[in-house]
Amino acid sequence: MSPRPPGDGDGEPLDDLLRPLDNGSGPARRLSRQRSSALVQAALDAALQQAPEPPRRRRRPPVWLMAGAALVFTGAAAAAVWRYARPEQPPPQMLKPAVPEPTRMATLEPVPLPPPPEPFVIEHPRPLRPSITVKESSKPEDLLRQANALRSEGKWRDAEGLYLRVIRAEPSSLAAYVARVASGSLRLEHLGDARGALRQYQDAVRLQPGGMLDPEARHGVAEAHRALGDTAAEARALGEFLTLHPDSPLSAASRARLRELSPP
Amino acid sequence: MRSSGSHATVAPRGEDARLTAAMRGQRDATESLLLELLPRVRNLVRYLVRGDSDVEDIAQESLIALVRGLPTYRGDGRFHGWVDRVVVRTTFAWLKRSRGREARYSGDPVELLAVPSDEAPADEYLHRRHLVALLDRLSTEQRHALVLHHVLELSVQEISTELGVPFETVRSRLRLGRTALRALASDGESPEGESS
Repeated sequence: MSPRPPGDGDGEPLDDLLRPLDNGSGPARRLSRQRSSALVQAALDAALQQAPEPPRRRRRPPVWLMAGAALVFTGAAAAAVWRYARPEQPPPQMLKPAVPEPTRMATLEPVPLPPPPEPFVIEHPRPLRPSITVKESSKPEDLLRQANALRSEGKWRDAEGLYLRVIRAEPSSLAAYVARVASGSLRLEHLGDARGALRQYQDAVRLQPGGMLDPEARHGVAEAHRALGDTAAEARALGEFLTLHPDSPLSAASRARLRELSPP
Repeated sequence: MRSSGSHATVAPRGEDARLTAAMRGQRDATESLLLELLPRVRNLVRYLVRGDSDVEDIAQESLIALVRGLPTYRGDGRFHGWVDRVVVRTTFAWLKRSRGREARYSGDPVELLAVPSDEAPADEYLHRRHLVALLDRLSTEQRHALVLHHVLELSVQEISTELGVPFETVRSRLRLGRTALRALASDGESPEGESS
């Protein structure tokens, strides 16, 4: 794109209003470095992993694999039904030292399903960076780290799944607190789930009032209300946020928003 | 007139290696390049579309288009010019795909905040936010003509080619757009909501 010749387009200058593009700030809203990085990572993943190919490759797993998986799960379900339905068997004669089996409470206890033979990956068949494997025995802190890594790759749902695991594993831990705030942000910004985000932020505020992420959580409550269109609740949340955190970096924007919401 | 993006050096010589590496598909180099280009990409997208809500989506599509297009960049023009062209085309394609969505745009709240910035003084940011709020009130045709001409510094002939409309139509859109923008700007709209 070459610079326009002088006098082109009737020559009337508009430099006092519209200026040539540069790398300065605006008119797009400011974006945090973290979000910028996440956006770039996601674009890179999408561009490099889904390089356009003339005949579009199907992204579904092959039929044999789907059929196999269906068989495995059907078999597991059948085994579970059979286990519930079968009459009580007399204790088998022990030919080798018996392994004590825990007493089961009739049908109240879920029957563990046999694990599928091996995991399979549907998306990202050729990951360009070492794939993040989630260990069943991971500590909450490890899970948080993995979730953050997934998040930086733009794998929002996978990250959300890990945040939820952290919360379930130790609901009152510091890691769960961080996961709640992170999950709220993820739901609000990427998963289109403002109601879920509100719940997570509110839980974080309730369970650790004044915690280290209190400004983010309280501001998140206001943002979630805003996304839900509840301006009265948003104004209340902004008021609480400003009372408790008047010097937060988010306070200027919050005051301006509160002024917008206040009747003249 | 300030120095323009189009006039800016493409990739300073010291960065040629990074660009070359990115063109070869090296992830680190590409990531570094995209991070640097992102503000420019987002700003251009915002100039072209109404409201803020779609900017990130279109910017991300533009980044993807840039990554995929890098191997085809021949280095025979200004790199930023090539980037701008890719972003413009991606944005136009997105607008074409989502035709009708703009009709639902009811105006984002004008957010004129004194946001501190590393890159530009707050009043410059405010000026630009105010300006795009005015652009949001122009017709899409006039807006695109103004942005391509005054922001990207394309000639009328280039805009005519880019948009696929006659030369005189572009001139007419520019004339009408300028008049409308000046009228909006002189309406005495003080930046409402400007914070202390």
